[in-house]
Amino acid sequence: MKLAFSNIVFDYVGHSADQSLRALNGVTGEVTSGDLLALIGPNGAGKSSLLGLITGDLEVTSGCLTVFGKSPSAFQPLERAQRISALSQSSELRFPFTVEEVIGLGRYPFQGKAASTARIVREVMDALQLNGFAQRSMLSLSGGERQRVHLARAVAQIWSSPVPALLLLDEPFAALDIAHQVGVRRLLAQVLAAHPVSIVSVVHDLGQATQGYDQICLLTEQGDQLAFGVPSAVLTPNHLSELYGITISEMHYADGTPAGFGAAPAAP
Amino acid sequence: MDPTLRATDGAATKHSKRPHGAPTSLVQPSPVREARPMSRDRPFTSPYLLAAVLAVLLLGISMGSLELGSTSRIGLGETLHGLLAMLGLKEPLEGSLQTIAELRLYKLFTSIGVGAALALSGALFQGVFRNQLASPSIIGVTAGASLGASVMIIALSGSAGSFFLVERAAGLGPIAISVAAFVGAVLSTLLVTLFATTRGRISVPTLLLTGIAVNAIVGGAIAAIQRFSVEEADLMRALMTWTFGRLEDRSLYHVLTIWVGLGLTVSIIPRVSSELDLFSAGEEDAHNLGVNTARVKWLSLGAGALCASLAVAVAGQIAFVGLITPHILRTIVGPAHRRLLWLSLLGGPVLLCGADLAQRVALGHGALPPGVIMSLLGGPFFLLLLLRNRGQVEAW
Repeated sequence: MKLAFSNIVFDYVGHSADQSLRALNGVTGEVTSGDLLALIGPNGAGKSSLLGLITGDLEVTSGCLTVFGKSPSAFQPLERAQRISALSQSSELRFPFTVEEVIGLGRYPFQGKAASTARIVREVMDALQLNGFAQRSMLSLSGGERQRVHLARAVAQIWSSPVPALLLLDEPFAALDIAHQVGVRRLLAQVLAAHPVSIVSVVHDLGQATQGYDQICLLTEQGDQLAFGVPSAVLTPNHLSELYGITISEMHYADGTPAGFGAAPAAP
Repeated sequence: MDPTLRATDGAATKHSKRPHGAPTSLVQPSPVREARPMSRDRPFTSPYLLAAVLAVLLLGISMGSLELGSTSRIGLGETLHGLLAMLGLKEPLEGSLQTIAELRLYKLFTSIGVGAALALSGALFQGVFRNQLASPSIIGVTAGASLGASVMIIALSGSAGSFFLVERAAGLGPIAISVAAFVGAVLSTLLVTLFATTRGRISVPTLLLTGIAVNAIVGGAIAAIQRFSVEEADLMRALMTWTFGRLEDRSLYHVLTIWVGLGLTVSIIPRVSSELDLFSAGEEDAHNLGVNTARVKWLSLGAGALCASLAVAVAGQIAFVGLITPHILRTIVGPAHRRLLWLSLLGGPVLLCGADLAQRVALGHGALPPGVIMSLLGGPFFLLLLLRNRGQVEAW
């Protein structure tokens, strides 16, 4: 079992007791080898918190969460980073590192193997069409370009991992145009195919969320788990309407193939 | 694993109207988009070349400083003779000449140590706080050290009469003042860091604002201390020393203090340099990359506070060296800390000793204390920095 969590509760603790905020309220699920899990829910549903709990950056208030059979806090920091890689939303470089240097930072957990670092950085840059950017300063890139570099760094961290690893992505498509979304999806497919990696990803686009994921976890604004399971069972107009509090219906192309979900037009 | 994700390879672009169950037979990779042509934003200089240039500059400035002193009775040759005499390799110079030579040497080695300590401390603070505006003087660390030293001077003058008697006796006075400066620096570092931390993360805007508050409070406290000691000329002079900085009349004690502190701080460089690079994308990212963030943060802040406070203890408050040096170096060799931290050790002394030598050549010996020169030079530079970063102010 790569990742298992049962009935986890997580409270953000404020300065006083009445300021503490429940982000996750009894969430249960598991991810097995080669799995692709999507976390879906409205803003503030605790999706990023769940990723933070898996990396050990946050700690569960109650419940049980194990990664590769251990609590995240039981890992040595380097050992953990060799097996769990994360793309956070808050990544923001303030110093003018080059793209190549930033991706190379992803190899920090595997210290002292400079030759393999250079090779992996090159391979990841190839896969994400970042070659022309190698020497560019991060500060001169656009938001979408920066996001691809941060993603490349997270992927470099688990690239050619000999042991099962976990890649956590917080809205990897947020600032990407449609062509780069396709490029990133291709890269993730390549990662899944070539390496013993499972991916947990926070997704907002309901059209894309229907594609490719093995399991979907729906989290409500209160941090409750609405559903967990295969997409065909979980992604229903009823579930999604309840989740977002608006009417959501399934869309179809003219030939009848499903085309994701969309909100019904608001009444005039 | 559903095959469709893999099938998006090249297929989805051509069949984007059929996202689910699109044909998977297309094998030719679709070129996503031509990346912009190869370009390099910053042509960085080799760190070794820069180190060599700085070393030559520092050597030249040092020789100039030894040649030009408060008296023209001795020059570089005699001073070097005096150095060999101190090491027991030659006969001492006649009479007071040996003392003059020793004072010049103590001043030089103190200045080099202080410049290096301030610059290294600035580079460490900027790395941890991942902001090029953070420096020991901006966030109130040097002010805290200065207050600690002032309080100790008052305490000593109360028990032992004139402060200068205490210092000349080279007894516990200077050591007590150094310890008090360190305690002041550590307390202000802790205060500022803890104030700026929410949920285990440092907020840089809060940090800079807290620094303003700490500087104001400490400035007021020091002014109050000076107000009440204005009757006692010796005490007043001793306090002024800490306010404006002083590199004259240093002793072996000062040289040893700053160099031992510097040595301790330098010893942590290998343990934090690549880790601070990982900090630059945020503490959360550093954690996810396997950095023990708490250890790196407190080791760097502790070492930075140690070196900044000892610089204040031996030479008083000298602002801006810690702010400017890492900033200039970063534009020349790039932001990697394994280069930045080491080069600060050369860049700081070049700046401090160079500015001191330049004002002596221009205005005559001892015209302006080092703290005043650095403020006059560093203030405008800081404004320039703000001017260039105006667009990014909200990103602090």
